[in-house]
Amino acid sequence: MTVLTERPTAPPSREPRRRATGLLDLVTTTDHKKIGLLYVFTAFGFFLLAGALAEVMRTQLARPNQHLVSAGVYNELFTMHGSIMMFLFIGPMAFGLANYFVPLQIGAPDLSFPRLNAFAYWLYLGGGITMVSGFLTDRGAAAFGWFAYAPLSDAIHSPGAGADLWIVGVALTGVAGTLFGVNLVTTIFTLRAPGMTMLRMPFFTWDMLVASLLVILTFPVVAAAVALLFADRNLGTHFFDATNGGEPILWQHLFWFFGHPEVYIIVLPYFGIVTDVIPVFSRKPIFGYRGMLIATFAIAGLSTGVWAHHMFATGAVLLPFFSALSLLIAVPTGVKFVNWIGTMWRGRLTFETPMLFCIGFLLTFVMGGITGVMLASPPIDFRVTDTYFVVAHMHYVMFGGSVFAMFAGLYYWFPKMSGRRLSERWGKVHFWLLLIGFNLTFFPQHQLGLRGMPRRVDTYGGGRGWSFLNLLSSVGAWLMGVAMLVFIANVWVSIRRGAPAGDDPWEANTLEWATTSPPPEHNFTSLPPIRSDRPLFDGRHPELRP
Amino acid sequence: MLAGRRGRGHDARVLSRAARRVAPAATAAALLALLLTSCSGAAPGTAKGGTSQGRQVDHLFRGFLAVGVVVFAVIWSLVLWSVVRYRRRGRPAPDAVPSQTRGNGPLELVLTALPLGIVAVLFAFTVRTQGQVDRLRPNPDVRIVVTAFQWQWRFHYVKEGITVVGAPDRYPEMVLPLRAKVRLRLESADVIHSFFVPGFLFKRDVIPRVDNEIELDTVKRGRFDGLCAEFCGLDHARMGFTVRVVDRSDYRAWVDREQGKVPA
Amino acid sequence: MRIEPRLFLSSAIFYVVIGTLYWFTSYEPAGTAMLGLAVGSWTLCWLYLLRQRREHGLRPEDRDDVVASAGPADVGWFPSSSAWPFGMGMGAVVAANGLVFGTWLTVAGGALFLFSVVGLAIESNSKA
Repeated sequence: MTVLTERPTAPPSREPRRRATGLLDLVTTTDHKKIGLLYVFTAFGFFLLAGALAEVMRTQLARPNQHLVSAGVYNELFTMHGSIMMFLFIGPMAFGLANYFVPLQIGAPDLSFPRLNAFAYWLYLGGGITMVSGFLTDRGAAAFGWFAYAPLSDAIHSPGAGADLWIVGVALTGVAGTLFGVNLVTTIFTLRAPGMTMLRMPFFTWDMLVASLLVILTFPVVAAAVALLFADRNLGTHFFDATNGGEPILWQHLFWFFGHPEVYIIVLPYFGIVTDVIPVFSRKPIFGYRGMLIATFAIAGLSTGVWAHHMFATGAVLLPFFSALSLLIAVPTGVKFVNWIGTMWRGRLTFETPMLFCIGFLLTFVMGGITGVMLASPPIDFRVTDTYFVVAHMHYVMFGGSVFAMFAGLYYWFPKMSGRRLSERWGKVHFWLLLIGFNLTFFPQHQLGLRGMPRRVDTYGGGRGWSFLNLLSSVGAWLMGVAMLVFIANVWVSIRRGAPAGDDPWEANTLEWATTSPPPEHNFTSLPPIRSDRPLFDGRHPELRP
Repeated sequence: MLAGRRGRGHDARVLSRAARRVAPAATAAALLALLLTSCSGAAPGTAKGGTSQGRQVDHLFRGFLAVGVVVFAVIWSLVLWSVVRYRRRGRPAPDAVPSQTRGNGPLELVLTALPLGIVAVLFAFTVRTQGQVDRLRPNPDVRIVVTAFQWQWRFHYVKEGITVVGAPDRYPEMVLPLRAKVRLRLESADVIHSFFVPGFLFKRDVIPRVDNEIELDTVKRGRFDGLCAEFCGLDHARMGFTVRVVDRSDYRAWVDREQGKVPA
Repeated sequence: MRIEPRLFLSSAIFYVVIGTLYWFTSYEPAGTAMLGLAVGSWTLCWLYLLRQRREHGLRPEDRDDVVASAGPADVGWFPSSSAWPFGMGMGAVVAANGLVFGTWLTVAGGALFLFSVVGLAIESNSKA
């Protein structure tokens, strides 16, 4: 990148112009924007796959004693639904959006290591396909739940290649994530444009930085854990084998040391999106930039100290330590809510689709936060853990949280990536269908859990007070499926025939809007002066500069 | 093809009017759905608070629920109020922006201290209930070794010398006397299971190499469903049992009957 | 490099506190080991960035008051395309699948991976 104050006729380049096209272009690209799109499309494809698995499960659970699929297949469905969502969708989707937009937001020409970037993507794609290919084996895909507790996941209790393919898939995607994390942290530390100090960076970038640090800390742990599991299964070791001096509970410690930060890795980037979008549609700066930053670090730090709250019911962990820290995480999260609401307060709000999804996020994520506080109390946890109460909690924070915010980001950034506008009308239809469908699916599950319905059951008997709630939940799930189709149709049509977007359709604040849609190779031909966290706003309102 | 500023603004106004009409209806529908979820009656086998520990948990849960409802109401009110009150109205001058408040230090500090205080109180109550739930006293009235295996349960009454084993089509029944201290020792023969009785508001995992002993004080007569609550493989969903709490005299009669039976 | 080293120092201190608290309240070795290793990781990063700051001082992106053209015109080499990452990726994926399907796959995948790594290194050498 050469930074100038006037637009030259063409950006200088050190390489001869050899333009590959089509498939060859895709497999040889190292351009962060193209790789970002590869991640986004691949992750969304896995999202639809895992969603389809969920629709099958919810259809079976709609009535008692149904057997659309056998118990064995059902166990594969929920294992792979969780595994695909957690390992192959929500994290990589954030990596994709970060890939595309972090360099733009900090005024960089690409990530620090473009070829490493591409390598990590191919590892992710290959790892994902490996994991899912379990369905094609004799004994089917992994069927031990997405957290693969030992001894259930050992060779005696889960024989078959599906489990080993799951392990290989986790290891490959774990390495891919770590490499991406390293790349992103380096980029943020070394490729910021002049004047873009750390304290002027947009929140999506900050939250991606923090999430990447968590990735670097914890993905190697899960890769090591599955390597030990692989050794137990195939190489005659006994790390988790109780009958030979091993410790099943060790698996849980290793897994959850990764597993809990993982859920913050998948929520922080999306917090960042919401924190960038709300100020644009409120026409005010983010309320309490520093407070937000401290809250983000507090959340990330605490998240690595609470892993055993997933293990309260084992009777084998130090309850007060983990309970106290888990309750404490509610505080910085509450601070974030104060700041989001404070941004909207006395603003001039408009409700284009990205903002609608942000509001939907605020209203649903709070529910997940509240049930999380309940789960942080071991006596309450003893009652509701491993029931549908936890299923409800996790979906409120991961879907109501991350996925709603993801859609806010997709609607917000679609114009920048494609040069075209998505249909606002169909965006709103998507939003309302999803909001109603999601709440219909998951709110009744709180009650189901309180009434004692355990997780991971392929069917249930009638006369327990569970049937009607399950039916409601399944109707909601079908509605969510319809909502998804609306979104896909909107994207399909708008990519081809959407209205041209221009550089800055939302009158936004951050640097990605200071270039064309989509941006040229190496992103910027010139940069505006950077004096605050809202360079474009400052350009439009020079009279307001402090 | 609508493009540019005017098209977007017009679209947004038309749509926000439509949204305003749809939103109350949708919210009402949502609230109705929420209410409906409480409508289906409680089913047999889930009698609440079958143990004194369970009743403590119920109290604690209600406390957390009350706090949760208040927080929920506050957040929803603030968000919905902002949405209604601070909506951009009319045709603003091109340069009109609201006051660019960047924060409010004292307010942020207060609103950090407040949740901190709330969770501190919640933690204090948690610790108190935790002590009651996990307490093991020296002389339980009944001692049972519960063995979980793929995919059923075995209950061995230590003092009485009775063993009850379940089968997929015949759930085992654990008979307990009323107003008794029952000590359960949980052992696994293979993978991790979980001993879960919803009517006692309690579960504890059954893990190889982890010594789990729990105590339950029975305070209510009745039949309570039991389930396995840690996914343990193929027939996890069929790993049920029941707990029946009866008067002491009935319990003695049951023990005599079982002891008189010829072992199979 | 104003904030960056401080970020890692604070993290390292945080883990020292949490790790110590955890060990003396639980005596649980696995969690303590992981928290301890976290201290090591962040300390390493802190020291490295501290050294970078000493060597390079304040850069244009660390300063509040600069114009965009204040930075170097050239910030590095950013290739737009390269075939080697794909080769490395496919090689690694095939080699990993060999753990499940047979050693011959691991050998084949490993060979492709190493070939691509060499290609990548040669490509770097001729450009940087």
